[in-house]
Amino acid sequence: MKNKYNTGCIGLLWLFFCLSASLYAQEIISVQGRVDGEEGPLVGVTVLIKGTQSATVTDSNGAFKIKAPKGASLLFEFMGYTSQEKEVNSNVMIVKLNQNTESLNEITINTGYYTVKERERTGSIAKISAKDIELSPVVNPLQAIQGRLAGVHITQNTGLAGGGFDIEIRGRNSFRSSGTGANIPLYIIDGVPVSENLVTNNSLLSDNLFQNKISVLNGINPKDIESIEILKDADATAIYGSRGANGVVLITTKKGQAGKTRFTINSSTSFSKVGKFMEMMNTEQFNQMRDEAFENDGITYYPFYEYDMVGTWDRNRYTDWQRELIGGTAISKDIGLGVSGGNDFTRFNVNLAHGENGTVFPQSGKGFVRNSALINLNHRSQDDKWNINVMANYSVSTNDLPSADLTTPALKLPPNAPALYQADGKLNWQNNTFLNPLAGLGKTYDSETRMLVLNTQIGYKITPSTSVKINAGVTTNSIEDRVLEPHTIWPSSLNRTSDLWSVSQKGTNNSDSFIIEPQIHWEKKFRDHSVKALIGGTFQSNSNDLFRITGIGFSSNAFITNIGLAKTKIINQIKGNEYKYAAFFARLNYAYKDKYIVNLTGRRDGSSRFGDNNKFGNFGAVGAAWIFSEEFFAKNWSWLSFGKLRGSYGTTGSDNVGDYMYLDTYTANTALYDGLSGLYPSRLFNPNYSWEKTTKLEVALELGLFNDKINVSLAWYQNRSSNQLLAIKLPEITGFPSISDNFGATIQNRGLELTLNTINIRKKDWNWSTNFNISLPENKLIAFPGLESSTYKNSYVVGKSINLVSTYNYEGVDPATGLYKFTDYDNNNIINTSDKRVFVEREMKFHGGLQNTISYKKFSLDFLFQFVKQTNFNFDNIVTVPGLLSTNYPVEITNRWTATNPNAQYTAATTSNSDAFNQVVTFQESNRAISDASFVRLKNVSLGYQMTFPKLGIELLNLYVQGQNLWTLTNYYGIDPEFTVMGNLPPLRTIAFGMQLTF
Amino acid sequence: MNNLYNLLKKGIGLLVLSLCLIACEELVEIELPDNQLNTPAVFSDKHTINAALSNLYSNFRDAPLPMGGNSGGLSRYTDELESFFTDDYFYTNSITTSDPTISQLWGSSYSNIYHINAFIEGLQASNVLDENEKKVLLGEVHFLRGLYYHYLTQLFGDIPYITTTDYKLNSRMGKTPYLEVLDLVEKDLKTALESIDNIYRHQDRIYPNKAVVELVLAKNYLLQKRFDLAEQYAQNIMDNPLYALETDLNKVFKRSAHSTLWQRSPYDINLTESNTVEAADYIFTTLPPTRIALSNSLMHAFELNDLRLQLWTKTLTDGELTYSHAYKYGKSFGEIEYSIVFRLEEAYFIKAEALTYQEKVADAVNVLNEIRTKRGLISLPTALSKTDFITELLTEYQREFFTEGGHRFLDLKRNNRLQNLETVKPNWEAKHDLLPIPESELLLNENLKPQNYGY
Repeated sequence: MKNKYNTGCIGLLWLFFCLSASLYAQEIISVQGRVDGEEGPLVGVTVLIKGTQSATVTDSNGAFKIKAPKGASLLFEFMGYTSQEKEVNSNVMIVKLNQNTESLNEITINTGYYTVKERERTGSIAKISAKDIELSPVVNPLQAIQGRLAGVHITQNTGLAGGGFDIEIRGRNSFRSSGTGANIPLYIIDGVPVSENLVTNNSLLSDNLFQNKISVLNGINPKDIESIEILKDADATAIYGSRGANGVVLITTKKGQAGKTRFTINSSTSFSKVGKFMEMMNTEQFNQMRDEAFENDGITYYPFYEYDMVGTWDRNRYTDWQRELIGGTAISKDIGLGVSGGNDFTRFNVNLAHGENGTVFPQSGKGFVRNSALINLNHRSQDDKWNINVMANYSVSTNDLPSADLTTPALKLPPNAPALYQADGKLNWQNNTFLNPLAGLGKTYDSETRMLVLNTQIGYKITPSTSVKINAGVTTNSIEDRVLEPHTIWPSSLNRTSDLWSVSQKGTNNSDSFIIEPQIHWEKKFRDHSVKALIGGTFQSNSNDLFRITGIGFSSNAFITNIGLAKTKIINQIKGNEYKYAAFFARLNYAYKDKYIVNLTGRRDGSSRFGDNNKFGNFGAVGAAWIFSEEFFAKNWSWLSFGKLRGSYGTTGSDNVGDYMYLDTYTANTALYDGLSGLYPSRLFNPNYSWEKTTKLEVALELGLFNDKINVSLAWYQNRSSNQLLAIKLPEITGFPSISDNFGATIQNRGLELTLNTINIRKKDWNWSTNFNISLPENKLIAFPGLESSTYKNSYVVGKSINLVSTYNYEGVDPATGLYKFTDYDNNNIINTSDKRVFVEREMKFHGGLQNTISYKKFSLDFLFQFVKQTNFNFDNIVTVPGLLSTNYPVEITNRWTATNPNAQYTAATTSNSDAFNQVVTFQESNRAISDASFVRLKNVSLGYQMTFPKLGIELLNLYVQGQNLWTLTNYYGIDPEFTVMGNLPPLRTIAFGMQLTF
Repeated sequence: MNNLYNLLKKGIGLLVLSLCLIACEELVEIELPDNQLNTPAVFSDKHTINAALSNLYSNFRDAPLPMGGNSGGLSRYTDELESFFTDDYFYTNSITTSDPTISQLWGSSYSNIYHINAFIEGLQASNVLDENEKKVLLGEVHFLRGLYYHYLTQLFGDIPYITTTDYKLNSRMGKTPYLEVLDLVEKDLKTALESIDNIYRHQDRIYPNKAVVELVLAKNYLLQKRFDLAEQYAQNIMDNPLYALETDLNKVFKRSAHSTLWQRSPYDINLTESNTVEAADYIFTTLPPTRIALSNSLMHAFELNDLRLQLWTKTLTDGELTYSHAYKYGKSFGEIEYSIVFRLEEAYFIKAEALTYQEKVADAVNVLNEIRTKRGLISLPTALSKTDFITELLTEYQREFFTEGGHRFLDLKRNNRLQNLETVKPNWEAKHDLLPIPESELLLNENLKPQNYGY
């Protein structure tokens, strides 16, 4: 906290320093006037004398008064309106500003190294701006993108704030699983790449909660973001070369606006709950299953550990464990303060924010808390030659949680399990027969993540057509996490003491990177020809340090956070990684008559992740666009306001294979023998593997119809990833489970993306617009030389998706025996792996979103439906044998085999039939465990009421109610169809109340 | 402004530089991480060679065969323990081919064997040690390799005998038949025997000496049914003046026991109050037990005056429930205990068993009586039939070595008496004499097929 404010103070000081430049005068006249919008006078418009710092703001009647030198230009700026410039030549001035409808000509798109007008864009880029991001009451910006952009599919891994996300931009390009970071796009915040760092696990101890996947974007406050651009095709990504294969996510933070110093206060409170519980068996159904199990087993004398049968437990109790353990309401509070302003030369924006996010667990730590500060400073010199942008984003996030997610116990605990607490308020262990799930809450996980992104861009115009630019940035991302396990989590009857049983673990992971990118930009226009060129270089260096230590035994739990005081200290891990990357890139863009455009981009990359023979790789792309609505034949088509055909082809790559994998080394082992530390062989090494390449092809049609009231974009793409770089699975008799190598296999991701934006009503009081997007991806393995003789022959099939699962063929429950039947393909009367012959695709058929924005006078309503058509694992994937005391089941299990119900869905209840237990894995790995997981979700609703109180100097007061994940339509068998790991807390249903005040 | 201009000049300089030197590898050259060392460097320094060797021992400590450090895995598999774990597929004899414990056991063993093979290859290429020093170290690691395969083949039957680090070759490696594996084990152990000294490298007996090699060799000869050799090597150990049977049974599992052949150095030697993993696994102090307890059939195998019943087990009762646990380790804090791998008593048993199969039952009875009398039991008559004596011998094995090194399973198996388990283990079948090879291995390497029968 302290640090944050220090940074803030320094930033402000700097700001004042910059503002104190001088103003020089000449012949001055007094100008009076009024600024009108389409519906009357506009209040709060900034009126600025161009080239100076002097400015004023229109009053409640839209009037202004300013003294300006004759011949100077006045600049009129207002949020949501197109700015206008007027020369001062009389004392009276009436100005009309037009609403900025974001028509194609206006929007500029950031492509990273350069910007391009939407109209002239040759690449495939999806954009979401602050307006839409701010509609969602979310912690991580990725949540706000879900369902809004074509070609981008994001899955939230857990309902706990501070976790991770799986993001796929146009499908999976690699055999490597998402856990290895193989499909993670390149994230760039204001020009600085931030690495997700999955290859080395960004958190060390959050395995039970987050599977060690923590999104790096958790450190960014979504309200600080001006826009997110997602680069998809070769034309847009080839300039990122080896890092562009999985797409590039460009995040631009909010910059200051010239004019009056504006203060913005944001505050919101939200309430989140698990949207829907699973219907589990109640006590009566559970007891019936138990009785049946013993009857089927012929057991009449119950062993002592069948606690419900021998009276140790009250078998008639009932607890809804989902309500008890994950049924709470997570309360989140956010508050933010922003100051922005400046003049024509220097603008600043400072945002400070504090957010807290609780959990749905019954008793737990504070949850996820983030303090963040964003400082943006932009300056351009009076002669317009220098251009300097400075951005600093610093955040400290802490997460304070139980060390394990309670969702699995909530689903598994028998409904008649004993109470959590004794009458005296202590945890109930029921005489050492009940593993109280709340005991696990005593084992805590907490983390502190500090993230700094600092960026400076300095540009200098050497000649009107040539400029040089340096982009330099630094990032620091340090995660410190801790798991504390006091001896009190054990039943007191075990007499465990802190000096043997209290355990404290601590991990730190520090990542630092810096990047420097010198560039030369050149552009020239002569007659109908326009040429833009860019050359530049990149040098990037990342380093990463890991350290993990465990302390066992404390004389008192009061010391548990201080591992120095532990009786036994074990250093589990010390590891450092280094990654260096150097590149040269170039772009050449040529446009003729602004309707034929060709864009060439290329990059030569060098990466330390490859052996000496393969350190460098070349990537490049060509993109072209034809704006046919400019052609003579289209001029008569009054319905066509804009028409563009564009296409691109090129290659990008990936070096996301992990550091040092080509080296033959030994690694130090922290386990001691005889007090000596060991050295063990690090890996099976292969010095010869090289770059993975993805060739991307795209053709797209973009249309604006009826005066841009309807905008359509239809894109077809085909990405082929070859020279697959992966950890090739090996039998463990080789000593290692895998070796890194290139693979001749080719994966194809092909698909269609359609976006449709319509303006349905635009009237004085009424506005209604609709955005629709749908993506139809198709993933296919198109070549795999030597598949049959490789270690992957049971995992992949040429012509099918790579999201393939080999399964046993489930035939049903045998009416005679009550056991499951599976197809015995080799007729040897044993169901074993050679019968695992049915390949089932976990496929994504389509996904998309439908957003409507309606405003009436001062009200605005926005709602977004997200829809996904897919198949995935269902609850049968974790169902074992019904009958045991240890596990409750969904109510579906009541349809199980009995003599009177021979045609059942589930096997007979038993506690000891080994034939039934032997089938568990086969059942879980059968094709029955994969089924439809499609859903339609009311992802987001936002209702706002905007007011202005000009007399009080309040420019805008927005009161809003927002909802997230409000309603889901699905017939998925499981707790929620959006998941990556079964048993994690599902995404929560959130309702937020908030206000935004600008003055 | 000047500063900025300078900065920019530097930037342009850098740009020009990067354009010129773009092919220059130095920009992307990195240093080794500080926890890694190039393989040739490891074997060019005595200390790092020692560290690589030390790793082989900590591997064995952390995943010791026969059960890979799994709490009494084979004891639960047979009739020694009652288990209260949920879904204990070992205990219920319902292991499947995808059982994670099996994969772990198989994977960690072959990983450790890789480490051994890499050590052998590295050391042979090294020139910092003289031939004699090299020979001694090579002897030790050949012993370790032999030991891994000695156990693996008893658990899995025919297995690949990997002796190189070439993954291209190894990933296609087929199985070597059980009897050939035993011959190869014998070869590795013989190599070890030639170079390992009788004097321990460490006074705590945490590294094997010649007697340890002889013991494993004798065990292996029992499997090879070369009983004369088994007897001879067992006798060598019994005659070795370094060892003596402890008369006080409370001392057998202490660090300084004279009967110990080899024990494992614990994770942290500075721990003064730490117990062995065995103590942590087996001892419980409250009822009902939540993990494992000694089985009724084991408790019934003891005669009441057996000192081992009195001193190596402990019974807890609360009037209603009665359970016992192994109490070989963990009896007292303060006096250090290491986990014992082999102890002298086993040589007596090997000799007795070897004599039996050489039809010298009376001599065998005498050897076994030496143990029995020290355990408070009366001597057996020498006139026992061979079958009866084998029954007695196996019961004695059970009482002496319960919860140690998977003895029960291996002893019954070696003497063809696994079917005895059918009376106490309802799911026991003939196929259970072998564990299944992990399914994933068969999928990744066709040459490992077929799966062991019955799985």
